[in-house]
Parts: sequence; structure tokens; C-alpha cells
Amino acid sequence: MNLVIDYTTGLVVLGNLAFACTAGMLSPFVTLRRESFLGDGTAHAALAGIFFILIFPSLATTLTLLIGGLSAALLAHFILFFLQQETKLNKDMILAITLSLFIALALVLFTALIGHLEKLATLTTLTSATERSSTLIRHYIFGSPASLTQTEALLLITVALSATIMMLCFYKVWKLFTFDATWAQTLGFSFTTSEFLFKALFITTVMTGLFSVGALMVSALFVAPSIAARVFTTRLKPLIALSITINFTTTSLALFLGSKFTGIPEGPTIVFLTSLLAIILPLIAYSYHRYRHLLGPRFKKYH
Amino acid sequence: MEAVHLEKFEIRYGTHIAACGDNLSIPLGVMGAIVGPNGAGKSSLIKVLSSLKSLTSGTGTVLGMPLPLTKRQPKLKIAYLPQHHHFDQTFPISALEVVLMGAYGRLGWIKRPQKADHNAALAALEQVNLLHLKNKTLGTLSGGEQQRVFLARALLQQSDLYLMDEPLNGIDIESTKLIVAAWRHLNRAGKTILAIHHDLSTLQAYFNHITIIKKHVLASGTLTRPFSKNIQTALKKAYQTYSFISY
Repeated sequence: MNLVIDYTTGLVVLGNLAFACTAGMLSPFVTLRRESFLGDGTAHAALAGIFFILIFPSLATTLTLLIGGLSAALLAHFILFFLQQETKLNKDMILAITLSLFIALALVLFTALIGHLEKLATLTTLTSATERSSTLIRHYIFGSPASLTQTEALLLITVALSATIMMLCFYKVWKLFTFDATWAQTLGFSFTTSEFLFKALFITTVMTGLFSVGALMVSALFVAPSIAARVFTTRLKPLIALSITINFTTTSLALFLGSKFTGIPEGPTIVFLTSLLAIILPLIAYSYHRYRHLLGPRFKKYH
Repeated sequence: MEAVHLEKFEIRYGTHIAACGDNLSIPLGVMGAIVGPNGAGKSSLIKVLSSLKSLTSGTGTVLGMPLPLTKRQPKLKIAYLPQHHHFDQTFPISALEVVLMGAYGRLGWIKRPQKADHNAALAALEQVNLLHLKNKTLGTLSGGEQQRVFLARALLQQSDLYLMDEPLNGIDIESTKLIVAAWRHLNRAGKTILAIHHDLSTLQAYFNHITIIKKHVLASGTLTRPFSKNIQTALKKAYQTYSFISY
């Protein structure tokens, strides 16, 4: 077995694992804040921004696409924050309408983009650029972890390092606001500042996550690991550690399977394995607590 | 200096007036009850005093500092105890971790709790007789135990004014005794306590000052046994019943 891998492959693997760990780290906060749909909303909003940039194929670089995606995602979050502050609508209602707005916008831009690219493809001089745009559309919707570019992989690693530093600095305040936001404000901490810092990190992570698993599935990596991890712990720090471990393990396994067997798509496999754990582990835990008395007297009580 | 001083104040939610009054003064060092029927504006008043909400009109000070407090240092002089059921019961956190949050204000954004903070948190838990449950998940504790955990968190804040929103609501006798004992301990140390209270039969046993509110501040003053004439009149006006007169 050849254990030596080249620099580019190593960077791609590292980039995907870095994203998986970042998503795992944020996952407990996302679920405890009851913002499980926020990942979907952010990803679809980002997609609208990316599609807008792709309308101009010659402008489409990793940086411009990142800026386009981030701008659209920020706009979506600004709308969410504004509606939450200024209206009495429930959080899930606000999430649902904002999510719908940006999915619809992304679809409008997608349809327009396909028509636009078909038209451009008839002009011979722009063929390569339009082909690249078509590939990028698939890349950002469905994800393709194995085909990360070096720039994308480096971006994912940079985001992971920044996220780790931010988590080390602001863990205490984020935990406080997640647990009791009203009381946290009486201590003099600014809700807006805390929210801005967390959302900035979350949006950037989701946005760069599109390079890895794509817009359709990225939110699963922010929700599923903490659901699976909750089975094993009732404390926040171990929950974060376990969520990171789960995402790391499923991503490693999916990348390994993808490299060994042709035809296995890594992105959907990562999400499939993580989501499977999020369904199976709570079911096992529930069954154990429900039927443990059948295993004998030793299992009757909690230990 | 007074603990609370409000003048010609109004607290509104849109066009709805939650509470108002011409003058409300509560001296330092009292154990004060804020009483009134449901929807009288008691919680709104507590929120204004803890700077969670601003006065719509009028002026006010808390511990001599003009409202609303915006900086962190002045806010640390006031501890707020919310209603105990207002948190996620499934949150993965232990009783000790909740109490430790009382030190977060002093620590600021970046600093982490040190050994001394842990020891202070353990001492606060001991004061409310919950040291044996320090590692229990908060959601698994009873309502009374949860309220004692939150009181221990407030104790760790080492503030000068304690504002409590219905701290004895739905609490068993044992927890009530422990909570009131902790208040007395604080009060002896010169701290001011203001709590929203619903049980008129225990007013004189637990408190030495009363503020009666029903949208308007009806009366505010020292609590005597039996009730003074103006307190009796205000209570009648607030509750529209005479059954409390025997207290």
C-alpha cells in the first residue's frame, strides 16, 4: 500500500478535513440556538451570489465567487437580523421566508444563467469560459471534495485556523448568549457584537464549505454531528469535541472510499454517513433506555 | 444616594403603556417587594432598572447612575435574576457551569475563569445548599433547585443591587427558605434587593419595603405590620379586594 501522497492531494484532503472540523465545531452552537435551517439559508443565499458572478464567465475566479457568495449570504443574514429585531415574527417563520426568497432568486439566476451560457457557447471565443462556468455550477451545487483547487483548499484551512482562534477567544461569550441571551446583556456584553462575530464565522464557513460538499448538502454538516454527539454527553465542551470527531471520521472515510472505489461521490457520502449516525445513534440510545430492563437487572438503572 | 429614583417616567411597548409614575424612590439597603396584579408593569419596571429596556420618557437613576446603563462596569453593580423557566431545559450545562457564569461580567470578553472563580462558584453553591448537585445537568434539577442555582449565579456577581423577577414563583418551602436566607445574608452586607412578589401573606415576613404598581406606581414605602393606611389603600386599588387587610 502506497502511503505517500503528493502535495496537491494532501492539500485537498487537508482542506476537506479542515472544513469538516470547523463545521463540527460550530454544529453544537447552531443546533442549541435552534438555527438548524440557517446553514441551508446561508448556502442558498451564497449560491444566488455565485450564480450572479457566473453570468459574467470571464470574471469568475475563486476570489470573485467568494466575494459574490459572501455578499449575498451577508445580505440574507442582514434581512434575518432586521426582521428579528423589528418584527414580532417567530424565528422559524423569518428563516423560512428568507430561505424561500434566496432559493427562488438562486433558481431564477440559475435558469437565466443556463440560457445565457448556451447563448454564449455558440460564440467560439468564449467556449472555454462558458464550459468552466457550467462545471463551476455543478461544483457549487453538488460539491466535489476531490476536485478542490489549491486556492480553495488553502482557503478552507485558513478559515479553520481562524475559526479555532475565534472559538478559543469567544467560547465563553457565545456559550453565555446561546444559553441565556437576555441575561448576558445585563452583564454588559453586546448582543450585536457577539452575534456579528458568530455569524461572520458561520457565514464564511458555510460559504467556503460550498467548495467541499456543495450548497445542497452543506447544512447537514452543521446539524447532524451534534445530534449524534448529544447521545454521548450532556456538556458543551465534550459535545464540540465529539461533533468535530464525527465530522472528521465521516469525511476521512468518505474520502478514502472515494479514492478506492471509482464512482463513489465523496460529498454526498460524507453527508450520508454523518446523517446516518445522527439518525441511528439517537435511535440506539432511545431503544437502550426504553428496553434496557430486558437485558437483565444490571441494566435497570442509570449508571 | 438612592437605589432607584425615577421621575415622571413612562414605559411603553408601541402605543401600550406598561408602567408609569410621577416619582418612585427606593432607598439603598432595603429588601423590597414589587407587587401588583398580572400585567401591572412589574417586569417592565425590572427590565428598565436592569437596562434591558429604556424608559420611553422621563428620567431615572439606579445606584446614582443615569438610566439606561450602557457601559459594562456600571452594569456589573446590578445583578438580574430572570424567571427560572426562561431557558432551554435541554441545554448541556452543569449547575456549577451556570453559577460560574456569574463571574463572566467581571472577566470580560476574552479572559477565562480562574481557580479563584471556581472556588467562589462552589462557595455560592454551598450558600444555597446545592454543592452536592454541582455536577448535575441543570435541566434535570427541580424548579426550586434551578432557581437556587440562578441565585448562586447572581451571588457570584457580587453586585450592589439585586433585581429579581418572581424569584419565589412555584418554589417549594425548602427552596423558599434557602433563597430568603441568602437574601438576608446579602442585605446584612448592605446590598439592596428588589423582587417581584405575588404572595401578600408573606410580604412582611420577607421584605421591609414595598412598591405597589398597577400601570401607575400607587405607593412605595416602608413595610409595617399591620400595613400602613396608604399601603392598604394602594393594595385595595391594585387588587380591588379587601381580603388582604388581615395581613
